[in-house]
Amino acid sequence: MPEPTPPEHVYGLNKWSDLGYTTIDMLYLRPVRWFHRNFVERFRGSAYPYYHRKFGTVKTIDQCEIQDQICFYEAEMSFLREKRIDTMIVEILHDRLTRCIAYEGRIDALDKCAKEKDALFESHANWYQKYGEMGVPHSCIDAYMKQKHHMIWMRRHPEVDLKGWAIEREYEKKTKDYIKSIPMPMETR
Amino acid sequence: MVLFSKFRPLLQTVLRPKEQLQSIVKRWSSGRNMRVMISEFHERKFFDMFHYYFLIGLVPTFCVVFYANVFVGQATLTEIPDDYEPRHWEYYKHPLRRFMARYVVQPFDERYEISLHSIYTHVMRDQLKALERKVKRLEHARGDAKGWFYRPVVDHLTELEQKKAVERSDGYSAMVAPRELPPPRSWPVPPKT
Repeated sequence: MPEPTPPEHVYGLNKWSDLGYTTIDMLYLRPVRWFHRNFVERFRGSAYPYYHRKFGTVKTIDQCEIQDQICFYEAEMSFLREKRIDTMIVEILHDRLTRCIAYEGRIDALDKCAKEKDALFESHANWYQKYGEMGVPHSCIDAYMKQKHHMIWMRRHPEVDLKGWAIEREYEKKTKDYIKSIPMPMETR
Repeated sequence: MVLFSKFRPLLQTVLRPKEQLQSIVKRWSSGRNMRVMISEFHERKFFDMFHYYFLIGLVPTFCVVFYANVFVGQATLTEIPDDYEPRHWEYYKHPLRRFMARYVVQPFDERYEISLHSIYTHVMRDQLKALERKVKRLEHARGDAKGWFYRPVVDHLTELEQKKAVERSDGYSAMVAPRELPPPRSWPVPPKT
């Protein structure tokens, strides 16, 4: 996943009202923090752990034998798990962009939220390419066939550049870095 | 819900007494009037019962939730140690959720394994049925076997009958005067040799 959210994008309406101690959020958060410091931290029992569930690697559809129903089931379950994780990832990136726009305001967001916007665009496009437009309901076999057809299409249309906009953004970034690297007095760019 | 009891005095300020029940006003001396109003008993009774049954559930729930959140606290995320396999409830953070996972709900992995087992059973059953169908089909087509459902069961009574019939065909005098000695006894105690 790309870099984590900067902390100032987490709460506050926008950067002009969010000074950190005068928002209405502080009316709710301050008593909670006081209670937590004075009562909860004193009387709480010992800490205990919880773990992140690890799913073992199973065979995917293309590695299963014919008529091996158990293998199909496991491949399907892992496909669904990965789909849920990817959906959450896209949702989180969308949320980040929303928070960035809310913080910066509509006009500054055009310059300052470009990274979040690109991340969302790329992740959404990839999600659509992997899971989208297959019909409801669909299975892991449909997704596998979609991948196969996409590869065939790419082989038949080699002139189509699917990474073009990313290359353009890279070029743009390199130009800007070059311009920034030229030393000039007092912001005369 | 808590504001139900405020409605009545509001109504009474809006509909003033002389508009309310102008005809039923008792006077027992000049200037002293008794306001005849509708009984509040039913309202009070309803609200009392409502509060009582609502709080019977709410107070213990609140205490339990308060204790779980303040005094027990939520779990901290740690890496799984190499030699340890976590129990299924140790994958959850909130203490009440852990409790439910431990004592109430079927574990996640167990559900998965049960599904796999059921698939396996169905597959095996289908394969056996298919095999039976194939065998029946082949036997019907070829007609060269006795029938796969034929069980070689030994019918002792019939065999005995057949033997006796053979002996009877020799004649009853052959049974009366046997050619050989009867076999030695084996019960209760075999003879000493």
